[in-house]
Parts: sequence; C-alpha cells; structure tokens
Amino acid sequence: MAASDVVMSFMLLVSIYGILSLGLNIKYGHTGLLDFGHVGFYLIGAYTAALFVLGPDDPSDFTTYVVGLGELPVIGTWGTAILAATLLAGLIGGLVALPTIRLREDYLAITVLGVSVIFQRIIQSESWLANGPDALRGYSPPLQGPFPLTMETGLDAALFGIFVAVVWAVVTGGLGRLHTANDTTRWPVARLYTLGTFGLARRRGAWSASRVAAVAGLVAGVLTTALMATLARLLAVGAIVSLYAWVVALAFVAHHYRDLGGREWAVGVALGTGLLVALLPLPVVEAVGLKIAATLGLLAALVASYYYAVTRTEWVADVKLAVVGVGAMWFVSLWYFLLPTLGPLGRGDVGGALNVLVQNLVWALRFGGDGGIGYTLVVIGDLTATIDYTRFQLAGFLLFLAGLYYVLELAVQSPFGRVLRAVRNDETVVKSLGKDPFVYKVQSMVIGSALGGFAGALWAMYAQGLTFTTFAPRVTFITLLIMFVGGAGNNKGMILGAGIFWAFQQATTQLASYFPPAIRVNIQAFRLVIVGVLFLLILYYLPEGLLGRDDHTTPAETQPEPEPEATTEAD
Amino acid sequence: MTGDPVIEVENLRKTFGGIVAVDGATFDIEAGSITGLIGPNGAGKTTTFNLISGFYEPDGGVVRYSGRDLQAIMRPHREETLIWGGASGITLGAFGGIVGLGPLGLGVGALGTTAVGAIAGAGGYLANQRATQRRPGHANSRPHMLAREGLVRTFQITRELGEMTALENLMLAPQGQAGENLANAWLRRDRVATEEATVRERAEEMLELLEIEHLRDEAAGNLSGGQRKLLELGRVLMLEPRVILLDEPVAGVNPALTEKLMDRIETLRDQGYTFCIVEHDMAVIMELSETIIVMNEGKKLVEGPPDEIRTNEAVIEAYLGV
Repeated sequence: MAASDVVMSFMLLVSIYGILSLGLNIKYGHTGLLDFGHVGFYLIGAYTAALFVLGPDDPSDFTTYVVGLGELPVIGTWGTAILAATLLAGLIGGLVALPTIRLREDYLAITVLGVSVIFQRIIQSESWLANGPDALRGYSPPLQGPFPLTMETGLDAALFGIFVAVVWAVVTGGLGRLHTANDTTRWPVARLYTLGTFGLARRRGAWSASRVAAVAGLVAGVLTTALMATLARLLAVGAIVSLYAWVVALAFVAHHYRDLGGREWAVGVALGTGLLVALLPLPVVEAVGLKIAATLGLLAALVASYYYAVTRTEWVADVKLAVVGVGAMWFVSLWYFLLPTLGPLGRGDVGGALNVLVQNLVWALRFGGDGGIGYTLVVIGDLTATIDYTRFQLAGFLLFLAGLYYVLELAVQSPFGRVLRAVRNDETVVKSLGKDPFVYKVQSMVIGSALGGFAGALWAMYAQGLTFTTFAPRVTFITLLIMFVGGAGNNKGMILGAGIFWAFQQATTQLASYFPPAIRVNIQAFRLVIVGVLFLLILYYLPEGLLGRDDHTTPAETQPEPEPEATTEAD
Repeated sequence: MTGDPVIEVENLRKTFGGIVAVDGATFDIEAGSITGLIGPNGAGKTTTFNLISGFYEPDGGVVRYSGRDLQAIMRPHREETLIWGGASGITLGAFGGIVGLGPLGLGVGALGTTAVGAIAGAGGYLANQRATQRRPGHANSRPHMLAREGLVRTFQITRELGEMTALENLMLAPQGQAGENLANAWLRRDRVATEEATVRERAEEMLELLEIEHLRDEAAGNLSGGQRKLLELGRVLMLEPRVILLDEPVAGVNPALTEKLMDRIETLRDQGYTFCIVEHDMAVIMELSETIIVMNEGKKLVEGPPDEIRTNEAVIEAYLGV
C-alpha cells in the first residue's frame, strides 16, 4: 500500500473527528459549556443514520432492530440519514440542555457525562432497539458499487468528475483565503489563483471567495467528466489535481512560516531529521531490548537538545513552536516521499524508486491492486491507476468538513458568536445587558450536539458497523484533547488537533509493527498513557492550545471597506 | 416629565440568613434626575441596587419601574411557559416511548406509555412552576428583561468581559441586533453587516468619548481598574437605556477623568436619562445629585437635597457613629 493510501484513510478519521470537535468547540470553546457527554450525540447520530439506511429487520436472522428504512425511496438514503441524524442529535441536545444548562460548569460536565452513559446503556440493554450489545451492521456506504473506477462507463466518468470538483473546490477555497491574506510571500499566489479558478478570480469584486471556489470546482468537475467520457486521461487529470493541491499546500506552508529565516528553517529540518534518526533503530536493530533502549535514548537526546536550545538560545525560544511545526512537516515529508523509495534504491532500481515516488505524488489516484487503467511510462515503468472508494468518500467528507467549518465561522464571527463569547466570559454581564444567556446556551448546545450527530452519521458510514462499546466516554475525552491541542475557541485548531491526534495514532501503529506481536499489544495500550501525558503537558505549557483563541479584533476605521465577503454574499 | 417617579421603592425587604440587609426601605427616583444613594458600609445600598436591577428578588415590598412591578416585568411570557412545558413533555414522552416499546412493541401500548410520559412531563413542569411562583421571593429572576425595558446597571466590582476586546465589550450592548439571531447571521448577512458597521461606529464614538480609543483592540482583562469603570459605563450607555444604576462609578478613576465622567453624566441627565448612583466619594455625590438618599441599617434614614444632607444631624451620627 502506497503511503498516499495510508494518508487517505487517516484523513477520513481526521474529517470525522474534526467535525465532532467543531461541535464540542462550539459548546466549550465558544460558549464555555463543559460537555463531558459529547459522545452521546455522536452515538445518537451514528445509530439514527444506521437505522435509516438499514433494510427492514429480518426476524429470522440474529439481528433485531426497531426499524430499518433502507428500502424506502429517498428516506432510506444516506442524505436523509445524515440530515435526520443531525436534526435528532440537535433536538436531543436541546432537550438535554433545558434542565441541565442552569448548572455550573463542573456540575454540568458530570451531569451530561451521565446522560451520555445513559444513552450508551439504552443501546446496550434495549436489544430490540439496535441489536443490543451486538454489532449493528448490514448496510453499506452510498455509491460504492462502481468502485474502483475503470472509466468504462459514463457513470465512472461522472463520479470521477464529482471527485475532482470537490477536491478542486476545497483546494481553490483554501487558495482564495491565501489570496485574500494578500501578504508578501514569494509564491505567485495571484497567478496560481487566476489559473485555478479558470479566470473566475476576476469576478472577485462581485463574488465571494467561497463562491468563486465552488464555481471553479464545478467547472473542473464538468471538464473532467467530459474529458473522461471522451479520452479517458485518468492519469493526466489525476496528476494535475494532485500537483495543484501540492502547490497550494506548499504555498500555505510558506505563508504560515513566512516570518522564519534560514537558520530557523534549519533548526526545524534538523529536528525532523533527528526524529527520523531516533526512530531508525526500530527497523535496523534486531534485539528487542536493544531496539527499545536505543530508540528511547536517541529520543531523549533529541528532546534534551531541543530543551537546551530553547532555554539557552533566545532566537530559538522565540520560534519554539514554529520550528517543531517545521520539523514535523519535514519528518512527514521524509516519511512520505523518501522512505518508500529507499527499498528500490537499495536494490539499485531507479525506475522502481521513481515509480513509488510518482504513486505518492499523484495522491488523487490509487495505484496497483486489481482493476484500473494501465499505463507504461518511460523509465518509471508500469502503473495501474484507478480511483478507489476511500478517495471518493474522503472527497465527500472533506466537503462536509469545509462546509461546516465555513458555516460555523459565519456564526462565530457574527454578533451571535459575540454573545456566545460574552456568555463564556461572564453570564451576569450578558444578563445586565438585556440578553438571556439561557437562550444562547441552549442554542449552542443544539448546534454543538447536531454537529456531534453529523460526525456520528459519518462514522456509521465509515465503520459500516456499530457497537455500543465504541461510544464510551473515551471518545469525549479524545475530542477534548483535540480541542485543547488545537486551541479551544478556534475552529481551525479543531482540524489541526484532529490531524495531530490521528497522526499520533497512525504513527504509533506503524512503529508497533516493528515489534514482535506479543509486545505490539502492549505498545498499543501504552500509547493511551502517552496521550494522557501529552494532554497534561499541553495543558501545562500551552493552555491556549497550538493556535490559541481566535482573534476577533475588527479592522479599524482607517482600513478599507469591510471585506467583500461580508457584504456581497447575502442575497 | 421631570418630577414623575420612574422608580418607586416601597417597604423593600431582603434578608440573607439571619442578616436583614434591607429592612423596609421606601423612596422614589424621579425621572430625569440624578439621585445619590449613600450610607455607611453595610447600610444595604448594594443590596438595594441588586433589588432594583432585578438581580435579587425581594423578600417583601415592591419595586415599581414606570408604574409596573419589577417581578411582573420579569415573569416569563406565556410562550416561554409553552416551550418549557412542551419540551418537558417531549422528553418524558420519549422516555415513556422507549420504556413502552421494549416489552409492548409498536402499538397502542407503546403509544399509551408515550402519552403518559408526555402528560407527566408537561403537567409536572406547569405544576412545579405554579408552586415556585406562589413561594414568596422565588419568582424567576430574569434581570435581562429589565435591561430590555431600559433599566440597566453597572457593578461595584467591574465585570468586564476579560477575553474580549474593549470594542467588542461595547458592541455587545446594543439591544435587538439582528445578527444575534443565528438565522440572520447565516441568511441575512448583508443586513447584519450593515448593522454591524453602525454598531461598530457607535462603539468607536463611545471609546473616543471616554478617551480610551487607544485601548480599542486591547483585551478588557488587561485594562486598569479605572479604565474598566469607563468601559462599563460606556457599555450601559451603548444600550440607550432610560434609567442607569451606577455602583461606585468613580472609584479608582483619576481626578481629571472623574471630572469628565461627572460632566458626561450631567449632560446625559440633561438629555433625559435618569441616574441613581451609589458612591463613597462625598464630593462627587454632593456635586452631582439633586436628591440624596441616606441609608442606614437597611432603612432610609433621610432624603433631601445635598445642602440639607450635609448638615443633617442623623446623617453625621450614622457616618461618624457619634
């Protein structure tokens, strides 16, 4: 499996947990409602969605559930299922809020924790409802049939078109934000934006960046479908889409770290390389004890030198987080691009190394496996390209994540969001200013819980089977961790936090594979301990999280007109 | 309209455990006037303030604002009762449904348990509400209803929204902002943006007026004590109220700024605002107020114009304990 495939399945989890954390962030980060029972709404969403798409219960088999709407037209589709899951979770969130929300922070937390456990117990013990303690399965995700795509039918072309449209729109939306930020990076962002939006960027005055991105995505999708139906240039289109995303991602990194100088970059790269070197004993050394000792020793040396640099050198201390970020990205790049090519290179097979490199570079396509279109390229060799269902699903999940992020940003940047933040700061003031905090807290609970339900529906789709054990309070605490890592009150931080958490999970799973199976289990269990320690460190050293609270300062009068996004998109 | 009482306090009484904080205070506050409320520590001034602004419920007596009982203004509307009763009904109904569906299956039996749950939920809520309303001093305290009617207060120990900027603190205050409704924030963004621009402009004017415009984007928690007082005054003024209750507005404010604040308050009074001020700075209260109410041990001691108070034997005794 190419590294890109690993990243794809990882991103699915990031999207689900990103949405789940966005929900908790509305409750805690923006309104100050400490909801230890967030998983309860995740559960409601998941089971609701599953019951909508499951076929009618067959009394002769071993599963029982109260109702399966899957065979009804429209109602039994995933679209309705997700919608119903969101609405029901929101409704129940509101109902739970009504009696509990008057409680003070910690009492509220404990009460809702209890409520979430009640939900879990109902699923477990009411076996007529959703198969009780046994797994509820027997449904499949939408549109799975034609995958992996081979471009033999029009449907294949259309599905690939949808995929490209979504990826293109999301990437262009990001680029549009970068373009609006309008700073002095050396990247030709403006030219790239014109290109990526097919010239639509010039409509910037009349259209918002989001609309430009959506239309550009649509154009890209239609173009792709047409191209596929006539020429079947899967590899070419896949390469273009992938490279576009890479360039935009690089521009983003350059923009984000624009303040770093050469030596800061060098420190970051050294950190990343150091981490890789520290992990090197794992595959190289045979003896288990020696392996662990060497790795831990090298890791300790790395942390110690970082600590030394931060405490002794002022210019490192100034950028102590940024260099870790650079280091992490450098490490991931090495893992993604370099490590897979080492095997073929070691055998002296340059073509094979390039082949692997291309596979990872063109992340939008899946290579190898059965089915797909075969290509033979000079030097690189044979490639069998296709689009698998994971990538298609990911495009959908990313679209949901981006859409919900956008909608939530609108809410928290509005006067509504201001009241929420005021409630978090001091309810009495809000009361003294003629606004009822209660109303806002209930609304916050409804929105946050609805997002939890949405994430639950996506989880049901992803997991293709539900067990009540999945919905233990553990999930709430993982979500809390994600929120605190990213920065409570910062929606962007939720996506970053989800990324970091799942990257950690993936990395430790991979590392564990270098150990004999007997130890592997222990390592996987032990990582929960590490997660706990990391949580403590974050709370101690970075109580505001990596990104801190969102900045809500508004431009002063001397600035030009309020940005067009706010004024023009309202019709 | 000067001369009509805008706030009438009658036999007001409030106890905390064994302590009688306010014990039968009776006085009026005239519309368009500045009334000072003074008294030694523990005289019940702040408690009276909390009673008038609806933050406490009285154990006895009545406060009327524009002739209406405060408790009546704050009582929940019928719609709210319906929402609450309905929600309780739905919740318990759903529980009843789950309990009934298990053993009884989809049918009349399950419907029955659902109905029983719903009736129990809604009925229970209404009965409980009745009972609490009959108990004295336990009406729903909802002071935001008073602020909506134009009766606002500041706090003795300033309560700024520390993580929000000074500008945001002010922009929060105006009433009935369309963007505070989530649906508008999503669907009517042009209207919200226009309104927001107006509110921001007003807030910036207010910052200028209070001479703290350089603190525009500073988190309110970082402001000094005096600056917070100003910010709080600005916040209630942003609300465009009728009656403003100020709890120690110049405590911790430097003399030059105190002067400005007093000018500002007098200008506002001339524009028709009504003020009631608790303040320990005698010079300020004597200069500002038209009427001064002296409280002692939870009762009104005397009431009159500053000159009269200055020379009143009872006041001197209460203050100096002679």
